[in-house]
Amino acid sequence: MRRILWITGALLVLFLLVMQTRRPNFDLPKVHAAAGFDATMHPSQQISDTLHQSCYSCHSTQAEIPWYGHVWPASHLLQKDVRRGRARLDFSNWSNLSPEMSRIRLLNACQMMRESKMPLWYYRPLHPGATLQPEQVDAFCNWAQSLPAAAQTASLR
Amino acid sequence: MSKLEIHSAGSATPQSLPRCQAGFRSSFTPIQSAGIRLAILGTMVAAAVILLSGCQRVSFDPRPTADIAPERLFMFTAVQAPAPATGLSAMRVDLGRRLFYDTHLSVNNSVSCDTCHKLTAYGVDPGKSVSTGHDKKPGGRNSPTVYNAGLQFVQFWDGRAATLAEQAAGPMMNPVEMGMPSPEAVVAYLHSSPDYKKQFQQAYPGARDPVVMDNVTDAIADFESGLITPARWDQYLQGNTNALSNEEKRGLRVFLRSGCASCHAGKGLGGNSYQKLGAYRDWPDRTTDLGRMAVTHNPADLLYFKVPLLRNVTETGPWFHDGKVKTIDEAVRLMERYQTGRRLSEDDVRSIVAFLGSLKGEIPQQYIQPPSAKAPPVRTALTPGTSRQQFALVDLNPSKEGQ
Repeated sequence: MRRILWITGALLVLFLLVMQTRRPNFDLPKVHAAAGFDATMHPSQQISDTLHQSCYSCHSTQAEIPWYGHVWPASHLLQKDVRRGRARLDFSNWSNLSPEMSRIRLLNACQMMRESKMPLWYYRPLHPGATLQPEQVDAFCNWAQSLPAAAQTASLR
Repeated sequence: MSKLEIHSAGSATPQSLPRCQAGFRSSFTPIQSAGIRLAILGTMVAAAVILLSGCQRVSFDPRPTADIAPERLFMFTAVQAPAPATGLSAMRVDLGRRLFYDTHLSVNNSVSCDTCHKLTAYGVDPGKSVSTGHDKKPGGRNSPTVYNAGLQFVQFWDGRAATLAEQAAGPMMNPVEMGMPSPEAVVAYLHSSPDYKKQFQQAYPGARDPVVMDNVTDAIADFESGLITPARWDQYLQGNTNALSNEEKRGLRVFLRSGCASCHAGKGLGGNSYQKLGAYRDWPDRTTDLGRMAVTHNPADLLYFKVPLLRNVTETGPWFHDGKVKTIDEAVRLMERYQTGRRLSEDDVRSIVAFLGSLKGEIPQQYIQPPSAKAPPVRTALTPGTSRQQFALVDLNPSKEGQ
């Protein structure tokens, strides 16, 4: 029995070693700061700090990948989160949004924060500083809701 | 082995255990057994975390066809059919409509705006991956619809035109599309028609010479601004819960849950942001079309495209920038695979497609009615087969032509 366990263990280690050859692709190109959220939307320092602290790890190209983020299977999970996160909301490429979409994304972010869906529940224990306080959420939501509604963002002429 | 079985194994008598478990227990000390159990439990918890991490769900009413609460739909805005234009505006719309249908705006009189953006076919070139231009050469990208184009924040797949008017000039001068050698050549043709001149003077009174390129594109833009197609979806947004079928409501739910609405939101359900093709998973073709990078020359813009509108999307195939996707079902599947990273069942795909059908509006038949045949211009553009250079020589130098 002990031998079987040893063999299983050895195979598992070998499998993990082989899987390390699958390098993650976080797709984090360098983006000019002028295209980012801070330069485009000019939020208050407090709101900017909140977002940097709680959101940018998955929702920007400035994601800081921890060491285990390069080790499979954590790398696989992190890649999924970072790429999916940026597909839905990318603070580094804010200039890619029209005023209409900018407002939609911010209001959506507010809703996700209010309902405690963001930051993700399994992210919080690993990053205690990222947990949002109610007053931080209120400040962000009040600011987002105060932005002018993009009644007609299209350039018709 | 389930978690429950592991727990029960500890308290069961050896006699009651299956043979493998009895053997398992007998080979290890209690401390070793506890360690193994802990390891298995840890693995299961980790597996549960991994599985749950892919299951972020938006909390809606769990009934699959229940109506979505309005506060959940804040990211969408209904559109209305524009009021009929009046006065000067109506004259410009009429002029723009005439220009839109006029094949003389191409170098050999063969192609009009309507050729690639057929107004009777939801503003696209139905069935064609890419349209062919004045000399039957294929264009670079799929012809996007002109319906609701005014709802977009920029024009063209790569956003290289900021406005409808700026866009309107593009195809006319594009050597593959309408092939006119220059804006001056377009204006020269229009000047050759007394009827056009009169129409321009009426639409742009006060100008010493109203037949200028800016007014040409302005009139076309005015006409295109009226190509808005409200749909049943808009009625739903306005509170008519019967406007969508149960299947469509289920599709809306999947649409929201799976992340489609992250990009396809707003008035047009798209057309209001650039997004990377292959945001979640690398798009296989990374060299044929660079997307917005070809405009900005910024490597960070590789494969970024303007998110297309979803209004009338079921009618505007083939799909994607290259028109290579032949069915709407496949388009949905590809979006899920490469953009959102969510796995959809076939039922989900079917429901999303049903929902997309609710975005189909009515073609405004009266508004797009081609103008009655006007008196032909005195000098038309040249006959088929004439080169752009010859056209330029003749039309830019009318005095020489007369000699």
